[in-house]
Amino acid sequence: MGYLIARRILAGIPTLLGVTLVVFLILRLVPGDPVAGLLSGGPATPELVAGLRAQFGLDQPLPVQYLSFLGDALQGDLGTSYATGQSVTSMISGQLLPTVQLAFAAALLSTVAGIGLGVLAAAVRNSFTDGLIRVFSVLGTAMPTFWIGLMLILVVSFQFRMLPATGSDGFQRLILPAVALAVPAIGVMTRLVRANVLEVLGENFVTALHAKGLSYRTILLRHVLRNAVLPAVTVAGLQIGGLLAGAVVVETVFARQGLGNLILQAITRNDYPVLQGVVIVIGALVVLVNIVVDLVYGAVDPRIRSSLAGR
Amino acid sequence: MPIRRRLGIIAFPAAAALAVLSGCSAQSSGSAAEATPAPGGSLTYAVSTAFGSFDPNVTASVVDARVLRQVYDSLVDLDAEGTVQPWLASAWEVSDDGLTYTFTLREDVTFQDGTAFDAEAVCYNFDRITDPATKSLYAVSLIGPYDSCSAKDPATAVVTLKNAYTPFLTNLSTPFLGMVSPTAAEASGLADFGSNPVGSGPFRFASYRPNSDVVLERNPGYNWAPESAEHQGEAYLEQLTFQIIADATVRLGSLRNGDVQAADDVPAQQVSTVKQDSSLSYLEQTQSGATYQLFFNTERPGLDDPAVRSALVKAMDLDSAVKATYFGAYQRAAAPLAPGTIGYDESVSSGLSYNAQAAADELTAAGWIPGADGVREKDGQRLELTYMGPSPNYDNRQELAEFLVQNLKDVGVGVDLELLPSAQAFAMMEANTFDIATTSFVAVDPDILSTLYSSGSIFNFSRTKAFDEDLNQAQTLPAGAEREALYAQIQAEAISGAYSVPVYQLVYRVATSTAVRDIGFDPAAYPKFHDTYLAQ
Repeated sequence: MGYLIARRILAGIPTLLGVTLVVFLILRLVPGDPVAGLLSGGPATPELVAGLRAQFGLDQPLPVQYLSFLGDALQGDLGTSYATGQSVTSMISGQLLPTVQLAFAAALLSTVAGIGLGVLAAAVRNSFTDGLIRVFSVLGTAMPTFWIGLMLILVVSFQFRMLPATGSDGFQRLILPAVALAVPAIGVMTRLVRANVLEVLGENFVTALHAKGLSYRTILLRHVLRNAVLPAVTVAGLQIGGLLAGAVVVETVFARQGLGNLILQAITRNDYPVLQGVVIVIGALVVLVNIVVDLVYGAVDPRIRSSLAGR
Repeated sequence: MPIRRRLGIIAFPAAAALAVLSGCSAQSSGSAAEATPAPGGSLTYAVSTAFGSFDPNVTASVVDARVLRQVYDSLVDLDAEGTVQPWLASAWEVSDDGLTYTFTLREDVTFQDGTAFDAEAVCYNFDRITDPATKSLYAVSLIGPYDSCSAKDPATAVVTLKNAYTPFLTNLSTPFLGMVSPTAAEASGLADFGSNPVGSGPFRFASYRPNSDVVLERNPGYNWAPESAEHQGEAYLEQLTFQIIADATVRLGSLRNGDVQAADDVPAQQVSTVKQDSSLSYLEQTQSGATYQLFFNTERPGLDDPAVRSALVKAMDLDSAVKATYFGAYQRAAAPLAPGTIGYDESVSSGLSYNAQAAADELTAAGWIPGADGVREKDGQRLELTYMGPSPNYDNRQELAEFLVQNLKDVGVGVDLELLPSAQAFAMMEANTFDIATTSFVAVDPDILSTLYSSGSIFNFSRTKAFDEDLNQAQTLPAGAEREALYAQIQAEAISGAYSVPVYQLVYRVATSTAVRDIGFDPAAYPKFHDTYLAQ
């Protein structure tokens, strides 16, 4: 197992390098210059712009800029914000936890609710309940998270005053944002699990189990679920990336601390170092989560464990 | 003079109805019964945009300045009439050549960390701003040709400029030139001072959670408010929290819900609802500086002819555009400078009016004849313009642009509307491939016109060189009628020459619960909470 983990981590390194390169190039190859966006200063002369550009190292050739950025990044230094002069590493570390909490709460919620609803819908397929769940899952994937968030705030917080609308502290303030973020993911997960369960239910071994006299309930929960849930684990892992991205929107609506607000500010202020830093950190998180998913996959399915380890 | 396009605020005030209290006091609606100021209580003020840095010497953000104003005092105060008044400096003398400023300082002022405020501290501030390591984005431009500063004695600081620069004194009143504690700035270092600010203002910094809130608390012993304040001594509020709530619906909902007691950046379409809500008070303050304007690039074919530019101005129904876009919440701008700015003169745009027929006739007279597809042509050149609009859609300026583009198309002008983020807009500015561009600035000195019309400025979108001499002269003229007259003349010529056309005035709009009283505003519409109290 240790060998497996080490191999997966090593394989993640080129992915992360790719992320840094792509982010770095995209920011710089798009026409335009960050300095003008920063300037609100007095008679803004071309000399002032050139001076700031030199201070930020933007007058260096691209490869030199990239290598010096990479060198610093390897030592945990993601540079200095153009707009505030603060260290990007410390700006990110202060905002990382709320976003990770939100994304993982939503991932957990979407996985549990998605599997539950999917299995239920498959178990009672073509019934009214199944129809209701299917409508919900389609609607869920179709509704934008900011709208769900706004509706939750208007109804739950402002109308019924059950939960606080804004802020980042404590479990209470995590509930609504996590629900808003999870709804589309629940929709996807529900549809996937439902389809998988139905597929597995049609397999020969299920007929055999029926013939053995096992109850429908036992067959469903013991044998079918285990097979049907495997692809769901992969999707849950893939969704983490999407949830981290979705957190950007949800954090803004709920006025939560987090990388989302940081990245929004960085975009409006042309703060390249912050933007790079956040994207790289999110990239690292996604790589990490996928390693974990691979391992979980192995734990759930012995066949995969042996094939992964044996390669 | 931060660019309004990027940092959230909005446009103009009062319908012709109620008396507009200009300058420092904002217009207020809602039923606010008389109450006596009493110390105590805490106020949560919801703002629309996250903060960057609370280091006044570094940041360029209007949003940050709303917090800076509470934490830092300035050497001088700018009153509603645009006159510079004493604050931390009790008096000053300017040498006849305009190069030397001798400030006499108050001797009873201490910074919030106990450091004494004296001439050494003043000089430390100027030297910190001009140190390239500070990477100042804005403050450095406000002190212009600063050369050196020396402390003659603890109460006398002498500042020398490289050349005469009248805006220097006015600019000293802004929060961006608020005095930082030298001890604290040195101890924190550049990277950390922005999140641990220490000044001498009525509120001191307590805590800051980026993207969430900043908490300030009353500065005990504060007794050096400027004359413009309603009272001397400590602030009334015990605690003042700025909470960031980006979404306008949630921000106003949190106010109605009682979670916060005030919310800024009331959306234009909500203004009338808020005004009618008896549980809320509505405050608005015009921001001094340059109004939102549209510039014609005089270096582009077609637009190099003043007759064409002038016809385009007539072709645009600006009154209706502003009314339709902002639901009557903002007013049409009358001049390049905003009301409340030194040198403001609303008469400079007299004679400007919408007349599509006249516009069409003038274009025809200038030799631009409609072609087969309706777009005008002259000598084989089509009259097709690139209109550079903002992205994201700050202040509904994209809708405004759509409206004006339609006006121009109606008189046979082809328009390509390019909505560009600032970095891309800058690329287009450098390539000089745009025909129409727009901007606005918050500022206190009329020298903001140099940013708009001097050939050395990157924001001189009309690319004119016609005003360089006048603008340079106005920078050195002493404050007073002669200087203001020169600025009025520059503005009148900018409009009659159709280099730019004023569109609407920026207004900072705040809704509060009715218990909140006496939020003050300086001319740039930065709120002042020293006099603010909660009615029982």
